[in-house]
Amino acid sequence: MRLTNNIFLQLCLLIIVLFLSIFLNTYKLESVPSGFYVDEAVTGYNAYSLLQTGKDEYGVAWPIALRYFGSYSPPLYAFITSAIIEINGYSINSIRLLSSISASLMVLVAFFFLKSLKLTGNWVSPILGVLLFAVCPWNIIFARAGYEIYLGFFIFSLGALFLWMGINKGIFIPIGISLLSLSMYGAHTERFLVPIFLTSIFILFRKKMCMPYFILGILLALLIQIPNMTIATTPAFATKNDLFYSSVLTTQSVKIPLLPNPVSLLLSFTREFSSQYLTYFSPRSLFSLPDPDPQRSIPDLSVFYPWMVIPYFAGLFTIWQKRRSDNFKFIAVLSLTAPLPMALTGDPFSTQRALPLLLPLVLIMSAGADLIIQKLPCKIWITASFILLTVSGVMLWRSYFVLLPNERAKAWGYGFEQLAEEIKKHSNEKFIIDQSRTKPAYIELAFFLKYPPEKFHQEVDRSIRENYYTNARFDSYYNFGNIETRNIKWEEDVYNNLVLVGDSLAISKNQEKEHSLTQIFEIKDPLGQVVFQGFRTNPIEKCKASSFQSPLCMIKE
Amino acid sequence: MVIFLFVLFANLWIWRAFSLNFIIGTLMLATSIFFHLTLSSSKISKISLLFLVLLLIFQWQTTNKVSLTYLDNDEQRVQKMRLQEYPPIHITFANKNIWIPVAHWFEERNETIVAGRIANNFFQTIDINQYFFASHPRERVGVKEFEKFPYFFLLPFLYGLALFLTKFSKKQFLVFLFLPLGLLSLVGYQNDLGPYSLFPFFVSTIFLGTKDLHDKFFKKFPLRVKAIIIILILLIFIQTIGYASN
Repeated sequence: MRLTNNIFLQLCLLIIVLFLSIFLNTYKLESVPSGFYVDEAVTGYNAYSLLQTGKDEYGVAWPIALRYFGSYSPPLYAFITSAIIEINGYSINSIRLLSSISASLMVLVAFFFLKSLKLTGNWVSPILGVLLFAVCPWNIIFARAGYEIYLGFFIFSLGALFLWMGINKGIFIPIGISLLSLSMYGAHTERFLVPIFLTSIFILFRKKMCMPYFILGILLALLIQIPNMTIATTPAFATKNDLFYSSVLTTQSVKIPLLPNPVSLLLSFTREFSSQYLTYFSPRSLFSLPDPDPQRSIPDLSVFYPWMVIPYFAGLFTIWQKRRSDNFKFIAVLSLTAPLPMALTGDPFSTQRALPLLLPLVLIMSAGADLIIQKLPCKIWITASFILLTVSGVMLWRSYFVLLPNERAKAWGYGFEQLAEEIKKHSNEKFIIDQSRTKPAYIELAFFLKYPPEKFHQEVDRSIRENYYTNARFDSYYNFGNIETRNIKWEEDVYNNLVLVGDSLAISKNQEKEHSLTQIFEIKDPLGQVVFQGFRTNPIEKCKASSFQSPLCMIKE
Repeated sequence: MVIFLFVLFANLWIWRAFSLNFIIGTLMLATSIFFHLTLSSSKISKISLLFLVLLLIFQWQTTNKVSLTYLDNDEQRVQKMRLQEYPPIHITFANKNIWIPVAHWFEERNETIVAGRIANNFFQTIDINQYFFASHPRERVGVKEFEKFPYFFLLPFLYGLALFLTKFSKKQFLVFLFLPLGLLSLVGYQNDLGPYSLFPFFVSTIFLGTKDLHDKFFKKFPLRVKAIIIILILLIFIQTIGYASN
């Protein structure tokens, strides 16, 4: 049996993979992941606020970086999402849709990358490559997350594709560099990655590039960067600097008392950086362990399926053998630069920040798959591919569509929608939402209550608006509508007519009894664990029980 | 020969082996030497194979083997919880519902548990960070990690690996890597000395890389650069010892 090169068949298969990708990226998008993560809520509410008023949650018109919780995220995702809300309506689906669209289009980017890089000899290999890309867990996690990570990755990859095409045909260079520059408004990672990537490509391919086009590209890129430059000297541009592991270096350097401190610090940095960097290529991180953050991982699945280790090693072998050719040099730059910014942060294997690494790794695996295909008889590799992809599909169904909605509901902010319903039900009562352990609750509630943005702008701390790019300190205290988000003050709150809301640890049975509280609702996650519980205070009962000892009881009297 | 001896002894793994179990240390040393001597040959020498088998027997004997199907209390709790999470799945055939016990297949069947355990052991064993950075930044719970080789050997190792695959006998490579890897995937990683049956493979691979880098680059460097590199190697070695003793 021989498979002949058939462009029509390749196109048909690509369309099938594209539809499969669209299906995987949009199926049950509203409910899987169950819950609505705080980063999605803040993006969604800001997009809504921008749509309604042209201002973000703090009342600042179209900011260059959205303040969010002091993270100053690049704004492109929220800007485009505001248009999606206008078309598709105000829903969880609309907030997640841009990532899903980007991920579906990424299939085409990956395909054209594989075609233009000429990595594979067999015509089926690019299709297999994009299939690997479409079904891999790393892709699916962020393709269904309603915040900026995937959009940044998509624009970056598109820019890298055009840049590669530009090495052979200069006209594409300005488009590529402009897209890379634009990706810096997509996500934080690209802000650090693009300059490193572009410099590396320039150093390696400068003799092959058409210089006038390259200079034009740089000029366009600088033009695109003008808004970013206006805030480049403010704390808003450097919010991720605190992720650097400076304290780790100090602790580690103490372990080498023989050496002078600057030398031991330098050695500690070398070791820390090398180990962090290497972990992004370690098979254990890529095929066995999930991201340590439960919100960024799928139960029992790593970022790739375990069997993909075979094409990974085969691909590395191929890359090494063809290391002198331009296409493999380009992949090497793409894969070696992608984890550089992440290796400077303390998180061990952050799948979110390292997302740009996904594309080169899939390209490497595709080259590996091609090598295997060339060596094996047709019947065997077709059967093996079919079995492995079926097994992968089953693994994905189990981990992502069965286990994740149950086991990761809490990590994805499950319960706020239900809490908002309770608040609506008791609209004449004042709610105190305990903030001691939960992520910022104000934005989840503002989103689910569809709180009018104009009103919200009036009720937030106005000093933030005045020093928008310099006031990076985030305070979780918010007071809007009938909601206050802060820690419960037991010495005061129980003497006022309030509804106290907290997680299962916030209010114990003893406290319920001691402060004469009455439980009015309880919200449980799909596993039956309490996410929120709401208690109504009873100031008169409390005063009676404490023999009116508190001065607050006198006021009540 | 100097380079080989440098690779063989400038690591904490061999010294730790000697301090914990002299026989294992001697076996690691002997297997590495015999493997090194036959490296350029396309055939595997019987003596190096014999030493490898002995090393594997010791690895088997000294590893605290965890049953591939045993579930501890927490794993049993998770298994029980997960059995409830699956939706009922059935196919209708001739007006009859045939229920498919997917929850049982995925969560309770020994084959699934065994496959997961073997994959876990395999990936733990091939984690390069384990050998050069004591598994940092993803240290394993319940395992006393140590840096088996100082990290200045990382680059020679990766380079040596590529050389091994392209210029040397694949038969040797397969035997000295995959036999220990297969065993370690079955018995796991609960061993004070780690996966020491892979020591000969590591030593030879690092040697190949170091030798080639030495011949191609180091030899041609001016004396000043050579001195800087040697000082750096010394400093990293001091650092490795410092980290190991803390």
